[in-house]
Amino acid sequence: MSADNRFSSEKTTRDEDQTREPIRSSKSTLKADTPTSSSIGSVFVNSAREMHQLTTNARFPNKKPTQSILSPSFLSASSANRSSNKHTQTSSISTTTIPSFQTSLNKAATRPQSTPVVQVPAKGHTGACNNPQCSDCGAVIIPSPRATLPLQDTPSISISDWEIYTSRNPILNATEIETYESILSIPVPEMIFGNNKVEIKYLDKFHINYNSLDALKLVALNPSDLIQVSYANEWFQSRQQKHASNDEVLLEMYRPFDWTYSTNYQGTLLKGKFIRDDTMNIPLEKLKRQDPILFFDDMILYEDELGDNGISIMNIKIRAMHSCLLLLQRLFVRVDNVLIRIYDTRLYIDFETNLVVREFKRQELDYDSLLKLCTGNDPRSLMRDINWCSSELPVIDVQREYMTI
Amino acid sequence: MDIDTDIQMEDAIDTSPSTATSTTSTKLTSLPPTLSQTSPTTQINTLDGWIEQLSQCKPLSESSIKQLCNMAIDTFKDEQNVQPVQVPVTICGDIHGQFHDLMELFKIGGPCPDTNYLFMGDYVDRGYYSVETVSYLVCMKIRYPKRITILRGNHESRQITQVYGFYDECFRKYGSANVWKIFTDLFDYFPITALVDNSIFCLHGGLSPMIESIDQVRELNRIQEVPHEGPMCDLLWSDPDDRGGWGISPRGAGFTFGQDISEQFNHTNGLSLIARAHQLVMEGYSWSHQDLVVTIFSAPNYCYRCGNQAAIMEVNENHNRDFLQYDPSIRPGEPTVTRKTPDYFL
Repeated sequence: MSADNRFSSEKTTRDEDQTREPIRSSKSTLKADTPTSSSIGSVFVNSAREMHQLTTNARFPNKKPTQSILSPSFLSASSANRSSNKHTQTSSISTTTIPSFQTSLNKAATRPQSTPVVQVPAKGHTGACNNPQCSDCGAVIIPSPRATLPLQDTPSISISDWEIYTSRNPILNATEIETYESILSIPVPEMIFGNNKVEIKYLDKFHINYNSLDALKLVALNPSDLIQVSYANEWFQSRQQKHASNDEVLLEMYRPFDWTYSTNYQGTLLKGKFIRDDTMNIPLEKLKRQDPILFFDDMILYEDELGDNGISIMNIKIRAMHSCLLLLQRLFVRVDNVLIRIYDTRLYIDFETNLVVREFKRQELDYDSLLKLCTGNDPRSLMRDINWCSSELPVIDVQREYMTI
Repeated sequence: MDIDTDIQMEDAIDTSPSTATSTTSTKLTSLPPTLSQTSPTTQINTLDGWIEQLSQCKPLSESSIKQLCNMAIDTFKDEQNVQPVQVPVTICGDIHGQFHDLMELFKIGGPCPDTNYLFMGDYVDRGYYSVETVSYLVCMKIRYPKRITILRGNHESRQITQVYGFYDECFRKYGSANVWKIFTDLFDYFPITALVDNSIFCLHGGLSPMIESIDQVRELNRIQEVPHEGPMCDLLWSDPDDRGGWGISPRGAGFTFGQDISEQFNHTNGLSLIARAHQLVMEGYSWSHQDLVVTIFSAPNYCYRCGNQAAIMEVNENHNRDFLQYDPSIRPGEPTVTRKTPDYFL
């Protein structure tokens, strides 16, 4: 029983047998009444719940940083413990997510002794910097719990000579959209975070920027393999009959474009030159180590609900530790009953060796085939789990390149 | 809240006591037996109790929802496909389960029933309080039927709500899909368009190539699930576009309409404006087709991450229009944006 599984974890105080029986019966009536229900895809309800939990639970006191993981004194184990305890006391972030961060703080004492110089905001930061550090440990975690509207975060950090800048803003306004559309000559996605960006610099030797305008420039115009929604044929044929006599209704698409907003964008490289080498792997073991995170951001570049036919979302995450950083830009496209697609760009930078590795991976499968891979009794919840999709989707191709600075 | 117990769920101003009594008796005969046995005063008290409970964002019990929706079907089935609305009225767009922002809307626009409201659909999905939002609006509708008009949006459908959150929310809050079923059955009765003083045509999506005159909307059979195609589908789904004529979305389904289409439609039907919702806009409202069409979006910081403003449009007795823009309601102790916890993603 699909929904059963989804919700049982939330019913903590109720007797299981009592609650499950009525659900079963109601679900069966439901199916009988709505034959179309099985043809509908799903959206990220789990992540919405997680977001909701985070939205309502994340409360931090308005305090000045008392102890900083950026400062040398943090190296002593006792202060690390003190900080992490405080972190737990003063925050009410969902208990499922906090432990990893806590662990990172506890392990701070074990990190390499050759500590790089860390500065917040970054040394090249101009203008206001309204990114509050964690009141206890000094880490920069964006979105900040204290952010208010209008949304505007411009955090930055330097780690030795590496500078990281991110920027988070509301969706574009009407004037900005007009400018974008005149440049792109396609309608922009419904939620277009055109002023969001991630930027990484190393002196005058390396400079890369991730933004939605450049990403959308690579969206195909007039693609040969234009994807259509599952009921397009049905819709078109009925229209053809009905409007056969009406000259005003042109049943032609005007300037078709890839409305799933799929793009091979891997960042805008402004300085530096990559060397292609598919054998160059990103050191996962090092990244699996739970070193303290000094800087974290997670933002959307654009999102479109595809007219309620699925979702296309371009998301970007970055985490910087003392020794390295990892950036993951992920495009997730789900066209209900048609296909699932993930395009990942990973950028790894080792601060100790100044090695930069970029990996671009494409994964795709038709909707029904992925649905068949779903095990358990709630396939649709898996279909909306991007991480699960990522682990199941076959890889079409992977490209890797590197540079040393 | 003012209660005029003499008049059964009608507005004191609009009806004289004698007509009110007759309205009452006809209404009561069509109510389910349990309800027709309760006195009008009890019903008003019940409704006011529900409104009070909902205004604290506390969902009603399943049995109350059942009772409420039965009463609501009775109210909605008598409404027209093109529901007439008088000025002054405040016209609102998508709400999408953002209950606290709906409360903010009533603060900005003035409390109902002192202010007349027209909502153009999409009460559910996306936000976390779809149940409370739609229950509240339906309660207000039954309590003050002449003061508030509720249209159907493309999200008021069985199919869409299963994908975009309302179904899951009902399941989570009630432990079964019963409440979802009761509500989606009710949505079939919602009127699909409204006409403000024969001048402003209000609907969720936009025009349809199969609809040239408003009378053709009146002929539709609206009491059904939103179909995948046809005029009713278009009215709830289509979008205005910069390009003239009728266009097809590159997705392969759905129409866009150009300025020439809006000009012709407004001219044929003697309209000054088409007011619609359905699309997110940063400023909360957006003019298109040289002020022949306006898009109104009333969910600020949509999906708790877009940072957009919301807006409502006041139309006064002289048909002057004013836009009121507002930001999300800020609740003490709760951040206004989604907090993400750092994770060791790979």
